[in-house]
Amino acid sequence: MPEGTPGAHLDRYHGSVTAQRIAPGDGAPIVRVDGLTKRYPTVTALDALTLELAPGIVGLVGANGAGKSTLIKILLGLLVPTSGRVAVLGIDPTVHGTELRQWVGYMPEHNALPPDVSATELVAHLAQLSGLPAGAARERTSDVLRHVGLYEERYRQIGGYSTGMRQRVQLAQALVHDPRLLLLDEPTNGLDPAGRDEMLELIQRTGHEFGIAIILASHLLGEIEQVCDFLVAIDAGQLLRSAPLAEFTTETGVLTVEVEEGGSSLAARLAERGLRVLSGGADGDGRAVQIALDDGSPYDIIRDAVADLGLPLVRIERRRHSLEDLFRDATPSSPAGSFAPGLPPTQPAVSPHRDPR
Amino acid sequence: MTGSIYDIGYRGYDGPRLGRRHAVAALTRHSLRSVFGIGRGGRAKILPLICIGLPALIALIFVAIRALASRGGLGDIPVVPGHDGMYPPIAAFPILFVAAQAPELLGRDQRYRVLTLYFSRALRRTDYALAKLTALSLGVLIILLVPQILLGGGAILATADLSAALGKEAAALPAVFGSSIIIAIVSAAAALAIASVAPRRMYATASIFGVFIIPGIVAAIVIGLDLGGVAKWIVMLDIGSLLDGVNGFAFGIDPSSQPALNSGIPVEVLSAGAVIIGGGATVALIWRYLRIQA
Repeated sequence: MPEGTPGAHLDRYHGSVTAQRIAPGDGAPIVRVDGLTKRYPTVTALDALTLELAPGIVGLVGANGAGKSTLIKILLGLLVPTSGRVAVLGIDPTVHGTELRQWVGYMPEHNALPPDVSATELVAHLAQLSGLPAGAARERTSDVLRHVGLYEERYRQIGGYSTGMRQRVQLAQALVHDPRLLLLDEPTNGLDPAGRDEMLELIQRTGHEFGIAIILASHLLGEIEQVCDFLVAIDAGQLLRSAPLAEFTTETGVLTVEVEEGGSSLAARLAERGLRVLSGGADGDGRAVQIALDDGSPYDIIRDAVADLGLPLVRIERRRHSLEDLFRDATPSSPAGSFAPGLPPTQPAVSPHRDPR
Repeated sequence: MTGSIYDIGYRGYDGPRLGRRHAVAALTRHSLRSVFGIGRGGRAKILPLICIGLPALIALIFVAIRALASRGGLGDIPVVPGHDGMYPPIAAFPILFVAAQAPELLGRDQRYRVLTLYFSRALRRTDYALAKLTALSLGVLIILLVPQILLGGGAILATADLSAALGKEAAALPAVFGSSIIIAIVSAAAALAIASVAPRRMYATASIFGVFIIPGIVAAIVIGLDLGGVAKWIVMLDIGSLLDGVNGFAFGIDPSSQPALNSGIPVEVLSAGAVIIGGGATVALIWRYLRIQA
């Protein structure tokens, strides 16, 4: 869905200021990483990663410990890579980190808010530390807090906020200096389903309407599918795949027929009629039958078979690749079970979060 | 979950981005305000006010005594301290101040992991540490300078010979500012270095008091026993004695005239010790912030 560059959106939303908005790094990709390696004494967090990311909403997926946070910290200039080259908005973060961070917003995965100040005070202060003059910092703070949906609450101390409100403040502080690139590390951490949907909608609007490039790190595939245009999958510090989201979810040549009961007899009947039954009946709870979509239409045969057997039909659906397949197929070493699309994140036992739930 | 997101549009920002120096200045300003409890609740202002108010009151008492004495025809009585003797009677207040405010300045950002938000902005880890050091040093400096200014102002107002008094005050300025700046930086650096490794406020405050006060007590006992020889060097571990030495060195005080300086160690050596402690603490503070997890 990225309609060209951020500039393309900006023409619509910002009129004549396009040229300034895409500076620095005109024309260059948002992120370029070449042979990037980060080794710690005991682990290799990133292993010769090479990537080029265009503007848009990029999903960065991988299991916990795959190297997502390490990559984000290198892009911010907070970690120095062991080897390899990196450029963000055309700037080398290892050399010009402070300059670059004026143009980049970062939302950490953990709660990083002090309880005894108001959202307004905190965000305005942080805006100045991103280089904004005091007056502009105050103006932008009230704009951005309104944008993330904080109104009267913003004058109250953060200590009394719900998890959802805190996450909004964390997003606001990342947006307050109008960055060209937003790095979001697990932005829906700790949110309930409604809060998660609102946060994702907010992220999507920020990326698509305001022309801010976003890199969204998540281990929740459902989230990535919901908002991202482009996907980068990493595992054990290596690039698994990098492609537009659509390529990950293309239709497969498999048709699923689900019945409430009698799956095995249906499978037998369909095989009799000459269809190639891939699986069905015997496996699982015996309700879904998978059929290969060869030449010709099997739909009439299926309809007749279901009718003859008098089975209660639930659905006939052409199966799509899901992101889970990617990890299941490509990496036997990392079980797909570590990904839970659409489910709330499981907090690791050592997590420092104080999740109120 | 309260509220929902309304489409109110988004405005970009095309104004100036002032960079690292602006960011460091903003952090220093913000930290200096919080050192005095400005922008915090009323309770946060009590201790800073005491630490500024009581030394000022002591200075005013000195001024009043001297004014009464000269009106009574007693002349310039030597018992009442001048600029050179202003620091020893108020020396406890800078310690109280840094013990309370250094943990406040560093602890919150560590405990609530706010450092992550700071370090992802237009400043470096070293900048953060030095901004905090500058802010706390300025706070101590204000505590030290207010009494000196009152003392000088009192002397000028009370005198019959204005030009002589002004000349005398001007001559004292380098020693007043020099000693106060060094004492302020050394106290602030030592306290921040300790607070940086003790994020919990209570432990940090207790540790700072311990480091500033216990060696002084030990040193006083050792000196009191008059063991002579090597034992007197224990004074070099007492930050309070070292800072007294800075004051003595700046004003050229005869050590025998001040009980705090009668350990037999030259004020030059004490001053050098203070500078080494201040430098070492600053390095330790920066080192800590280069490694701290954020």
